Amino acid sequence: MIREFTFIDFLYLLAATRWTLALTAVAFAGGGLVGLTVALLRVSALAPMRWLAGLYVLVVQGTPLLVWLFVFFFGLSIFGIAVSPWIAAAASFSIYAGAFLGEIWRGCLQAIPRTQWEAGGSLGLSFVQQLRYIIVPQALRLAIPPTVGFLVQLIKNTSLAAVIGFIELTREGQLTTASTFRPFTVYLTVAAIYFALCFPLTQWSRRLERRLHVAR
Amino acid sequence: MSLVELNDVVKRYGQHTVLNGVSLSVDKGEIIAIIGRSGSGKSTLLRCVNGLEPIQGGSVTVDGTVVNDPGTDLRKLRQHVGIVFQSFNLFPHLSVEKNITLAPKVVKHVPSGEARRLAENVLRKVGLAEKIDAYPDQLSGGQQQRVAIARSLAMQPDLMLFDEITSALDPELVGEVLKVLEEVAREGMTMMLVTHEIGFARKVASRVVFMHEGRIWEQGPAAATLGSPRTPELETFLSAVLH
Amino acid sequence: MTYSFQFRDVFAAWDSLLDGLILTLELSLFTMVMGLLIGIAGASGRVYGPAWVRRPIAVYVEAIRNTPLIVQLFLIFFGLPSAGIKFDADTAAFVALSINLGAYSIEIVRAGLEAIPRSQIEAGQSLGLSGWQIFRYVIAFPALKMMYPSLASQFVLLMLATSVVSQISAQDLFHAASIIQSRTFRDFEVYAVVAAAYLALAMIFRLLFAGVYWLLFARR
Repeated sequence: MIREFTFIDFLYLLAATRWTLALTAVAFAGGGLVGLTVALLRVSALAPMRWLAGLYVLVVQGTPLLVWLFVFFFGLSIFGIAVSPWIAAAASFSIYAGAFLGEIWRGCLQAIPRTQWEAGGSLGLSFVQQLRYIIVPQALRLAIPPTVGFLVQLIKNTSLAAVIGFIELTREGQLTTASTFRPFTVYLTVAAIYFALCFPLTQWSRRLERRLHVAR
Repeated sequence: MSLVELNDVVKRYGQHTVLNGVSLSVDKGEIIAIIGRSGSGKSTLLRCVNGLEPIQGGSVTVDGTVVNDPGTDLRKLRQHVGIVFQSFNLFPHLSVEKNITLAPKVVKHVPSGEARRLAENVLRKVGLAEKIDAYPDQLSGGQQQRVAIARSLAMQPDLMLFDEITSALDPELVGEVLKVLEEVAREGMTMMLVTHEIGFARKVASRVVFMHEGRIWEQGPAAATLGSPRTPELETFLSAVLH
Repeated sequence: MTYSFQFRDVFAAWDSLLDGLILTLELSLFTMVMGLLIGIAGASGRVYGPAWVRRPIAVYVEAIRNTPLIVQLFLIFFGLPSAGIKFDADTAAFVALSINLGAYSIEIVRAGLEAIPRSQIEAGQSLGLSGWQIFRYVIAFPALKMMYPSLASQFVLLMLATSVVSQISAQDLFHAASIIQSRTFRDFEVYAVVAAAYLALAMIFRLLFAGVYWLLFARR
């Protein structure tokens, strides 16, 4: 039955936004763990570790996120593993975010001058101590603006989870469209909600970036 | 037995040979000033002593430990060998106190209270007791370098290396840093310093080493070597820096 | 329980894969050209234009960069017909991708233009160069060199992102995969092959971009 797009539909969209945010949070946590590992391996003294992490980044940044979603959602079923949209989305987004965050954080670690490592090393600090007390605290300040910027990418990209039936904002938009036949109004509303989530973060990231430049 | 023993050290960057068979021994309590044109290998020589630069030939021994042996725990060695850099290399995110106490605390496990007293002590030596809670970017270049010296002293090293530590300073700030160096020298520290300050070398150093084209070209007691150079290269160098 | 991989069925459908690959390539290339044009025009307006040019461009850039591509695509393909504007799937895909990439390109080109120090412009002015001459001889080359790496990686991201056009039934590589999947039920194999194809494309694009960079900037 065809209905009008009403305030109730808008509330449904807002309700579905929770799942957009939940997926973002899970992906950020999972991706953060993977990313931290990737970044540390990429600055490791052991060449095979660097290559391994580099290969991971190369593959993930060279394949569409959609492929990962489909591999996890459809592909794993051939091994007799039933994968729910939640698990498939969480896994895909963690893998994806891990590669990008890893690269961002590696850049921040490497932006700290070599001489800081040298100064730590010549005081007798171990590699891990140098990272922990000298490099990471400085890199952290550099990392915040681009990490917030990536968070915006992540929120937007969770929309792709709609294609495996994960009900978040975009999927809810598709469902609402199907019942109201108001695609223009519905998708414009959906876009507006994404904008309301992302724009403040974008601005915040820019402000942080500017402050960092002033401080230098 | 000498504290530092360099034996026929060769250091290359790709095709370029920076150190071409350098042998040098330094006894406890000696103060060695290493001079020479930029590119003569003098900073590289210093960095080899605490293992910052891997070498391609020869050997470096400090206090009986072979620095270039892959099995050597460089961390152990570096607790006894301090180095102060041209560009200070203070940790910008840490206060002066934390800069100084970081290594004693995490490497030597000195308790916090004692570490603070240690910081006060070494800061007094470099005349910056009142700056203990400041951050590096609140200090002048000369003050930062004095903190860097204090940071190195706090590890109570047996040997200190100084790598052109006044070269990045404005001329009016050089004096305060050299004064601190003299103070450290007077306390009997074994020191190797790469420097452009010929006057200072003559006054403080027990021996001067002149590097040229990756070799030790000439060396000897400071006053004699600087006063009457035996090679034309040292003569040319001295007349260039003194005028 | 064991599963035997079987790629034969997947490769048997190589003609659909090839058709899909060609559309993916066409979409990527046309969009890159369009995106670059929008980027240059938009950034010039954004940096040098009067306020009534700068503001709408800023709004466009922010609106696009803060909303998902797939929603933009749906809005154009499903939404616009109700306003009387109708595209077929391929055209809608091209329009949506171009609008999307255009916004990112504007930001990248703008950052490149603004990274040229004022002193360079002043040096040009003091030599008596006109505004256009300053742009042509003083700004263009270093700015292009500075923005090139970001543009290149944005283009590769775009190539990968074209896969979403399958969701409006444009017959691209990813769409070909879903068709083969539904015919052969070789889910894992299909997506493994398609993933490899995208990876190869991404590498080829990166190599090409690196080659162009070398030709333009590294020699001299």
